[in-house]
Amino acid sequence: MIDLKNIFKYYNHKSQREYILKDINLSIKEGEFVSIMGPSGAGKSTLLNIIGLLDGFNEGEYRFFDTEVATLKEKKKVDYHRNHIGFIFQAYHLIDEMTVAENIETSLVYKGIKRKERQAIVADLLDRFNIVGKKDLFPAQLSGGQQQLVGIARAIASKPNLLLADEPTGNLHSSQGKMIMEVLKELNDEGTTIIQVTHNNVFANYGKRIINLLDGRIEKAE
Amino acid sequence: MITQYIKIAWRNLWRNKLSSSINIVGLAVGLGTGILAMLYSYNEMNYERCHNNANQLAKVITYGNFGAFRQLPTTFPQAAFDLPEQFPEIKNAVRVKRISNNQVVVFRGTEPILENNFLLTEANFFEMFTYTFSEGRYTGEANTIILSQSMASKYFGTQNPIGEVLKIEIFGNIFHLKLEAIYKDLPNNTLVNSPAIMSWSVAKTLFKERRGYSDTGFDVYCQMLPNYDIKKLNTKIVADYKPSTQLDDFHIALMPIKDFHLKSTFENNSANLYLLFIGGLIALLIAIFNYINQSTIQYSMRTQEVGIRLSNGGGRKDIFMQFMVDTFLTTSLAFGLSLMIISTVLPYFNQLLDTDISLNAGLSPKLIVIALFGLTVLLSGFYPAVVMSKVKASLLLKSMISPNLRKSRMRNVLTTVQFVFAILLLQIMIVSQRQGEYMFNSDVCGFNADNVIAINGYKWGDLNKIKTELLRNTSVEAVSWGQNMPAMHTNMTRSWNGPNNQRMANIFKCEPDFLNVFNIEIDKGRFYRRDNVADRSDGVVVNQLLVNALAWDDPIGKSLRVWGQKREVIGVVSNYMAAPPIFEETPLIIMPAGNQSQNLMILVNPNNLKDAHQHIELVLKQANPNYPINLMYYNEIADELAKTFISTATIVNAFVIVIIFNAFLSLFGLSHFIVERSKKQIGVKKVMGASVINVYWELSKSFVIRFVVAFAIITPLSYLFSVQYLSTFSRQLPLTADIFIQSGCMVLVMIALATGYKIIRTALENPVKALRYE
Repeated sequence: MIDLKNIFKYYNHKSQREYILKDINLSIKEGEFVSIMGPSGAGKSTLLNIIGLLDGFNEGEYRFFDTEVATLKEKKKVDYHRNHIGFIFQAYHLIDEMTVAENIETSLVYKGIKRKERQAIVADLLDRFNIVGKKDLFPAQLSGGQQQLVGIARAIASKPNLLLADEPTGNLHSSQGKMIMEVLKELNDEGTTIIQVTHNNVFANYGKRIINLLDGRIEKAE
Repeated sequence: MITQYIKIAWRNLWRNKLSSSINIVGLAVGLGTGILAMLYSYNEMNYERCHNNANQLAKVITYGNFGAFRQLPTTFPQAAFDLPEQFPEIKNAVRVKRISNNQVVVFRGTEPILENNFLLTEANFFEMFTYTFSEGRYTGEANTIILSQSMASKYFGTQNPIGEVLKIEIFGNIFHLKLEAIYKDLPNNTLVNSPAIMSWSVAKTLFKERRGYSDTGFDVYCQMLPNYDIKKLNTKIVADYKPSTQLDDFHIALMPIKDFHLKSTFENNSANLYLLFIGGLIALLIAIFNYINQSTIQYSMRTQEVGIRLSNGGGRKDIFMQFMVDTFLTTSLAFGLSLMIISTVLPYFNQLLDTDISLNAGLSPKLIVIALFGLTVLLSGFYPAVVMSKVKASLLLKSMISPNLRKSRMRNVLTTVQFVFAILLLQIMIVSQRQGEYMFNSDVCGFNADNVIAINGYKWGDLNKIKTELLRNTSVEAVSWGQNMPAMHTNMTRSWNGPNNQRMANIFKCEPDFLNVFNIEIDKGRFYRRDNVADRSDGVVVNQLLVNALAWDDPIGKSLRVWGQKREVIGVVSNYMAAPPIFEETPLIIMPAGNQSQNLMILVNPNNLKDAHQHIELVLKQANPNYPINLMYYNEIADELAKTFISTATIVNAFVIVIIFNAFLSLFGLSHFIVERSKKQIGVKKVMGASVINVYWELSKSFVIRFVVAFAIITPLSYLFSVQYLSTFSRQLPLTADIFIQSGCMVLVMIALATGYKIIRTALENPVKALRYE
């Protein structure tokens, strides 16, 4: 599903070159649950962005579903975002001006799904995460854990094969964090491939595989 | 999807009330100005469209040497006979006389009322021009009149007035005219707009010369065959048609009536049109710049949202559309507000410019308004939407989410452009205002017309008697009469100083007390004396310019030929300005007036105006009870005459206010945002020991620098522009540096006001509070 070969990512500062990622080789199969760990500035988020087609890279080869990403058209990328990739963020990143229900249906709207159908999907998700009563509230009116549930609901609304979670529990206290991890595990059990970035050793172990990143290199891969 | 965009846009609007209202108000004012300017331009460019035959109609204008003028908008009546006879292209021609200058007195019962602009014409006039009759039937029989609807209701109310007889007095002749028909009021944008049209028989009484070549005061309109070529026709007329007169270089030509309003030299209408058209567009453009500035700043808070949308499958196009919808919503609200502003302002605007513009006038004006709205949405929304659609999604996932206000070249340029226009317009405004005050300052123009009442009328009898009567009341300080009033008289002649004289002089008759009424000073010699008979028969008073022209060392006692008669110079007046300020200064000859005149001038005591008014009305009513008393102050009349000047100045001032207002809003919004974003920075600096002044300078420095750049760019241009403008006046304001410094200071004060409040308030806050902010 995901095949990274000799990926380099750097910025040029005047005459100096600052490497963010150095020679990353990684392949992830469908249905896996991978945790990426490492200290701040190790390049975890950048790696996730590259995998999620939000950021480019300077050297190397990345095959996503057997397509070469470097030659991918913008339109195809948009299509992947609509149908195949879901994102979960540390800071939830809900849109403040939209209600819970509207946030969840964001990608469905872009996919052009009809209102009735969207409502049905949203209702299912609200039900699944027990937040039916919060449907018409704005993000600011929810607790952190609830916001992250909405974030997950939004990410899986269009039934993606790949879920990318950038420190999904980073802003939550442990009991809420644990709840979120349980939800991710459940999704993985249902067949969704999950890649998460985390600092937390306990939560990292939810993953079936842990990759340690240090200074842009893969230190240790289990 | 669109409904969701609108919903989000609406919620964002509500959440950022301050910046939203800045955007809406700014755009509304800009749009309002733009729409008004476009409607005005439309009105101006559609002169005479109300006549079905407008394309075939032309007015005869006359070329020749007429003293101060080389062209007349009127001609001699014979043209109406000769032209259709000699030139087959001309199908029809009609003579028209317009009675202006409040010379018509209409009696409503016994009450005399002054009316203006009545027309006298022949029956074929209505074959050429389009009038719609709502009641009665026009025949043009002797002693008949037709009225416009508004005129009919003024005199007859709601009753059916057809067949009623109106008593009318013109130049002392009484007419009893039967009302034949009533026509729908014409729009203001036609030459033949008139409240009443009288049958040609009235002209037979009033004007002896209804054919021939000597009276050039007739309007002659011609109707041509369709598809005529005006240039060929005019060439033919100039070459083949020689009116039999003594004047050299005398000929006539046709001017299509559709060109008359904007392209003729008689009316300076194109200047106003350009001024309004360009000014309106600039005001709108500035408002759009303002919007682009504000919205890019505001949108920089929403980059995160864009990132989220991109990661959820939103395409660039979707993002672009979303932000265009955002602009569309704001502009729509602004549009609504601007329509409200326009409907409030329109009556004043129409009054100022003598137009009858309305928002509901036909389809084309509406289309113009809507097109302008669409253009505004596009121009204001495009750049911000493009910027947003180019946001990189990866920015979003960088650990901290604090979109910073990045430096933007575009914003720099837009702010500088705003300053440039603000400074330019302010400078023009100051120059035109000061020139207006300057030329009527008594030191400059040589007279003082404060508290002078001017009355026109006739059949007063011997004015010496009226003068004695008027002076009985102590509230009346001086009384005089003359051909005209200061700064209003242009009667240019070459018949002075011998037969070969080529120089023009302004010649003018007045009564001896004229100098006392207007406080005009005598430089040398003396003015006419009432009791001196010799003065009257062979004295003459001249101005210094005439003395210079003839290179006299001692003018008193020199002899001067005026109108073929030898006179002796008894005095020289100061630099008194006799002609309007837009006329070149000429030599001036003042002659003594007789006992009769239509223009009475009275200097009254300003502390006792009511008494004076009552006394004047009483005396004049006794002298001629059949003429309404039209009591007006010199300054009111001057304002009326200077109407174009005043309306132009008012328009410039309005633009200045609109543009300064927008610049102010933009600065206010910008500084507000900058301060909000740099609260922490301010806190840190204060902890490090920065004073309020330091902080203020730090944050407003960039504005001041842009101001200095704008000032340096525009001041030389504005100087050239002002020199050009002033050269149209006979007495010119000296251009001093303080004009430019003053405008600069005004803009600086505006900058300080717009940015100061928020910055200083934040700088005064406890830094600890600001540091806890994050």
